[in-house]
Order: sequence, then C-alpha cells, then structure tokens
Amino acid sequence: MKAKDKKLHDLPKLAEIDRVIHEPARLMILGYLSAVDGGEFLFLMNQTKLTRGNLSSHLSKLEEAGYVTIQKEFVNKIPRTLIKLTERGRDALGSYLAQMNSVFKGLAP
Amino acid sequence: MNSKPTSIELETRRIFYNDGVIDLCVGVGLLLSSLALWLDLFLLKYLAGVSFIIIYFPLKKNVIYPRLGYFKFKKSYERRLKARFMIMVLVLSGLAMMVYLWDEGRIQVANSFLEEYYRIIFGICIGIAFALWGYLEGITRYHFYSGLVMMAYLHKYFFSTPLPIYLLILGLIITPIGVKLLKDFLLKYPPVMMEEV
Repeated sequence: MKAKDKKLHDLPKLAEIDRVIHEPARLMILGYLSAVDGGEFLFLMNQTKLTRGNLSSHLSKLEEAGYVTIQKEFVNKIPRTLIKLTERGRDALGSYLAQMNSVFKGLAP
Repeated sequence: MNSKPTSIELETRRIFYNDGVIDLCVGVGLLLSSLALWLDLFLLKYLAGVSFIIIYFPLKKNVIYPRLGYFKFKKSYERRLKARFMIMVLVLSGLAMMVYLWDEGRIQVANSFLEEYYRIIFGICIGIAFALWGYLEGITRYHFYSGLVMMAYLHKYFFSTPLPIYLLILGLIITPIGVKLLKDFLLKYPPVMMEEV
C-alpha cells in the first residue's frame, strides 16, 4: 500500500467491534471481573448497580460467548454463584480495548 | 503481563480495606494490651495477642462478605500480600523477641542511647510497617496510624508516661475509626437475601 492511500483513522473498524462486549452493562461486568480472580454474583451486583434479573441475563450472554464461567456452589447451605473471566474473555476484552483505542485516536469533538 | 494495577483493581482493594475490620482489630488489640499491662492479667495478654484472629475472620465471613459479596484478588496480588504479611510478622516477632531478651538483660550494647531507649526501635518499626502498608495500598489513614505509633513510643521515653496509657489512647483513637468505617459499610451495603440465580 502506498503511503498516500493509507488511512489516517480507523473508523471503519467500529463495524467489526465485538457487540457482546460493546454493551455498557456487559463491559462493566467484564471490567470488574478483569480486576479480580473471581467474584460472587452479589459482588458484581453491588459494583455494577444492576438489578438481579438484568445482571443474570447479561451473565448468560457472556457465558454463551465463552467469556465467563459461572459456578454454583453452596457455602454453609447458602447458594453462592462464583463468576470468573475466562482466558477467551480476557483476550476479547484486550482486543476490544485495543480496537476502541485506535478508533478514538482519530476522533475529536 | 502488565503488573501495574488498573484503577478498578485499586478500587477493589480500597473496598476491601475500607470496611474498617482491620482498624477495629488493631484498636481492640491495643485496648486489650493496655488493660493487660495495667492489670497484669495473663488471659487479657493472651486475648490481646489473638484478638486479630478472633475478630477479623468471623467479621469478614459473617458480616462483610454476605453484604458485599465474596471476591478473590488476582493470584499475583494475593501472593504479594501473603509475602508482605509474612515478612511483617517475622520482622515484628523478631523485634518483640529482641525487646524481650533486652528486657531480660541478655542483650547488651555499647551505645548508651540504645541501651536506654531500645524499645523505640520496636515502635519505629511498627510505625514504618503501617506507613509502608498505607503507601503500597494507597490508604492514607495508615500514615496517620504510623505517626500515632511513633509519637506514642517517642513520647513514652522522653516524657516518662506509662506505656499502658499510650496504648489506651491509641486504642481509643483507632477503635472508633474502625467502628465508623464499619458503620458506613453496613449502611452502604444492606443485607441481601440471595436466592438461586
């Protein structure tokens, strides 16, 4: 490619963005999970301020995409749902951030 | 992998430290130590020594996690935390042993200042431990505690006030801070009935 043909911005890359991650609530969930080695459902609910049903539905979508694992266990007869970010989820989040950074470089209000 | 913590990681650590449990444990430990020295009761000395274990784990397990939700720190950070804690315990136990041996007259040094004020080293080390922990975790109130501990030890030697009084004062300052932080935490995170999700 000649230098003059080279694009100075990456806006078309927005079309390739991962829409599973691009949703604000799911991005928030992945953000918190990337900061820990695993967190309970209640921990995510408190941090993201999402309702139980909302969080549950977003987690299902992330689990379907293979970005998180959801383990249900009982601790002292109380159910505990432990959510972890998978390697695939971590890589996807990394790629998403890299894509968004390159897109933002070309933008100005 | 990038070892610099992200702002969300730092926020998670702050949530962990700002529930006031550590402050409460330290404060109660100081109050019990003060009473133990004052009344010379073996049981209180023992209780002061294990107060951290008696208060910390049950509070975290039964009060903090059911409200906040359980979470695990990243393995690399958890390893660092354990290593730091072990080093601190070893250094402080070593110093406590040294002070004990000094008390018994089994250690003698040529320096007359150290001979008279050797316990200051212990106080300064506790102060440095607080300051270092506060610096590494970004918790400013630990710097305040560091200053308090150092002042207490220095003051004790240069103004000849009994140690139990200083421990009592420190306990009376740190315990209410812990109670206030815990109260704020309980108001911020009300109890949640978790059902199957």
